[in-house]
Amino acid sequence: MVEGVKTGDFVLPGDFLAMAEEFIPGEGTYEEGGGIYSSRIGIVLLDARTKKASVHPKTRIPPVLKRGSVIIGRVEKIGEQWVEVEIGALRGSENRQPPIPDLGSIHVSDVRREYVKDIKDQFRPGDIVRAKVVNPKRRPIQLSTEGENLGVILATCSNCRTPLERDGMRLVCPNCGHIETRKIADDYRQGRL
Amino acid sequence: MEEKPEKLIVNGKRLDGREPGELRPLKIQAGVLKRADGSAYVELGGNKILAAVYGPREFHPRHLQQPTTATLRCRYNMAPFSVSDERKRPGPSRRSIEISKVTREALEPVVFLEQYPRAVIDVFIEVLQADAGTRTAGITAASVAMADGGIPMRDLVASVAVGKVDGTIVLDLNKYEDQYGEADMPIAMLPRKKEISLMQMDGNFTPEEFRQAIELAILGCEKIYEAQREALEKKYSANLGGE
Repeated sequence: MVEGVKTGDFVLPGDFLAMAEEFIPGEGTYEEGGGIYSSRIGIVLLDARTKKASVHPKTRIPPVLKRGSVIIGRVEKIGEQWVEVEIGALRGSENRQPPIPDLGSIHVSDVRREYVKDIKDQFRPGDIVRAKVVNPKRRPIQLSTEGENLGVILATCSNCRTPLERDGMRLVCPNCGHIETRKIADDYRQGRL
Repeated sequence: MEEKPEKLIVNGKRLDGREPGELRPLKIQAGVLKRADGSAYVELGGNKILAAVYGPREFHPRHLQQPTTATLRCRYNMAPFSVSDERKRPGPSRRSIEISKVTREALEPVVFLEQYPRAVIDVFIEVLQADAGTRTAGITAASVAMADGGIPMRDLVASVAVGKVDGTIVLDLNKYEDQYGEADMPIAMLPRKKEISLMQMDGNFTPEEFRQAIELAILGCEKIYEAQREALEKKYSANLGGE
């Protein structure tokens, strides 16, 4: 089935897109025997400038972390300079599990715009955070919570594990009155992912 | 069990009025289950089959994870009410375990498992109503379900059975032909490269008959492939805005 496919055409897995001499196989494609074929259902994009053939998916696809994608995760461990976060979900595909649970990390310099004296005033183990991917290629994946909308969206009291309530810039425990600080997102505990 | 009909082919036509090389009525629907990552529903004659795909997702127990590739897990299951004569005993059987295995092996060559190391892709095939040829219809459904779930694939997999009844090579056996015919051979094919990924055989063919049968199966698979494509196009090319 060697026939011309143009940008904007609808293709299914296994459909021929272009010869391997003409294009580089991009996302959603594969190369085999000198040809480039689609590996998913979607719309063809043959980029004449970058010489890249790719297929923009029409179905829901397994979550892929890219630079700038927003994730939800749980703080696992806190070091001197880094916080370890287990990535649980990706914005845009909340209904689909990531293929393998990935570990992310936030460096002190990426926590907020201002100077951070002690990272323990920003996060605690068990906090649910919303973060942005800075570099998906590194392991652990580099994350950042710089920005209004990013940071802790749910935290529990480190004394009694009751979910903390927001009081201005601080967090107060409704059970024992303990006061804590975090890098909180602007919609802390509003139930939004 | 009903009695064996005297003749399975009368005046060149089969018991259900089909030509030897004709498929039963086929209906394929993609994306029928809301909570599955990918799903499909297939009706082939009296067969009613639902396939659901989940993943790639984390593989538990973890000692079974493969560090370099994903694992494909298939489960073929017949509902207790799927057969007409008597209630089938629910749960896995020797037969369904074998079919699960051959289904996995039929689907494995098309999936880019190496893109998801340590993960698992689960495929569930539920036979709601059986009428001979459920394993092939199951593979057909599973392949549409995987494409619907956006799992990277080299190709779809189309599958159909061929056999011999009253000395004639026929396509897509029905229940009587399956039970009283001389041979039955399910085939699964990767349509683009015409590679065969499943071939089993029950009964016997002469070498010449075998060649004919394979050729007929390839024709049948191509028809099934067309229907698979149509189902996926119907579901996904609609909201394209002018094509």
